[in-house]
Amino acid sequence: MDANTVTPARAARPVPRSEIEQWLVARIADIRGMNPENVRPDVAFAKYGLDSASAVALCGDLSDWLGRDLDPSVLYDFPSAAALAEHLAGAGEASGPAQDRAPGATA
Amino acid sequence: MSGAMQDEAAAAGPGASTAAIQTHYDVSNAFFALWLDRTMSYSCALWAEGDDLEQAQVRKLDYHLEQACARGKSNLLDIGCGWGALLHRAVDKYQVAQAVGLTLSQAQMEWAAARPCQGTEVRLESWAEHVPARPYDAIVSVGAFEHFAKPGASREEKLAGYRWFFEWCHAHSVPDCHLSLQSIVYENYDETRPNPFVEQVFPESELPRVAEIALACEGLWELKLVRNDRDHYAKTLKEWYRRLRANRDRAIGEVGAQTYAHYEKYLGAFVVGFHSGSMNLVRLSARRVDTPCVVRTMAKEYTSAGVQ
Repeated sequence: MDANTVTPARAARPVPRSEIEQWLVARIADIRGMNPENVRPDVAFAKYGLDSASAVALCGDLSDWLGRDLDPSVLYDFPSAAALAEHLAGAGEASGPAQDRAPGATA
Repeated sequence: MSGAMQDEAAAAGPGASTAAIQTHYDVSNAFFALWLDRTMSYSCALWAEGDDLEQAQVRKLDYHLEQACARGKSNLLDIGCGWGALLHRAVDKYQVAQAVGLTLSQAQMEWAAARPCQGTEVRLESWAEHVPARPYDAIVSVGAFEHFAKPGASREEKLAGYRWFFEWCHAHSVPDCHLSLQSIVYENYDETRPNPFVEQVFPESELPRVAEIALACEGLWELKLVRNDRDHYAKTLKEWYRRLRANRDRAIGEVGAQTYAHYEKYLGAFVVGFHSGSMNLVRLSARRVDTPCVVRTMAKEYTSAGVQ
């Protein structure tokens, strides 16, 4: 799946946390050739082999799917499916960036 | 400068070859125009409250012209002039009589040639091969120093190349010349484990560290001001990333899906690099030491001085 074949959700409604998390888990499973049931949402993207460049590509696809602009640093600040989904669904806004859980991603 | 260094680097200078530079910068002027601001500034902006991208880029141009004490000068050199925005600004707003820009990008030179401006000149050559008509009284270099060392170079080789650059600037400038430089630098990054993606984006280019720049100019150029502005680059890159994505269809029409995806990924990854602090952005200005009391040159002296 690349940037041209992503079907945007173009969601006018807020996408629930669980739906974002499922989407992320499915994408990680797809990228890694894993069964989605074996991808844990609370484990850092980096543990699934996502380097900074693939994280950015994932961010772009997520942005297309959600139909809203996302800052590419969001996967660095919220480095797991659970943390990112919570942040994007609004529940995590107040807690701030999870700097201490950042992956060792470098540009 | 040592003969060996000169032979090895031929005429092009110590860093990336012309072909390597053109791999990145000669993709398509129309493509860059889709996501850069109207001045075609392709380097970190200088943001102030309320700025849009163009205002922040012009603020950056002004910063360097002021740091280089360019106002009213007769002969300014811009090393790595891109599409020529700083040259125009120097002549239009700072009463610089003659502004010469050097680039290794054919596309950038053609762009500049199509927009002639009284008092400016853009040349397709490296600083190492440039023979000035007369010495310069102000020097600016924004976003070129990143290309002055090749990946895999030892610290001594990097320093020797950088020293060569500062010696060249010294040899081709008048007393009391001021210089303003801007470059991406490694910050919290292990350059012994280079990221292959970055090498794809900027072939043959190895970033400096701030200390290497400072060491390389020591004795020839007296530092006035050094500032690190990685937040400004994260913000600039976010804006480029957003604009590129907003113009996706036109960009793909211009350069194809593969190149589009490559640039989107690189801009996003660099946002993360500056946001996380693996890279930084240094703006450094210096004043010429007119009668250096110790003239140190090249790698041998650095090594014997204990710099490893």
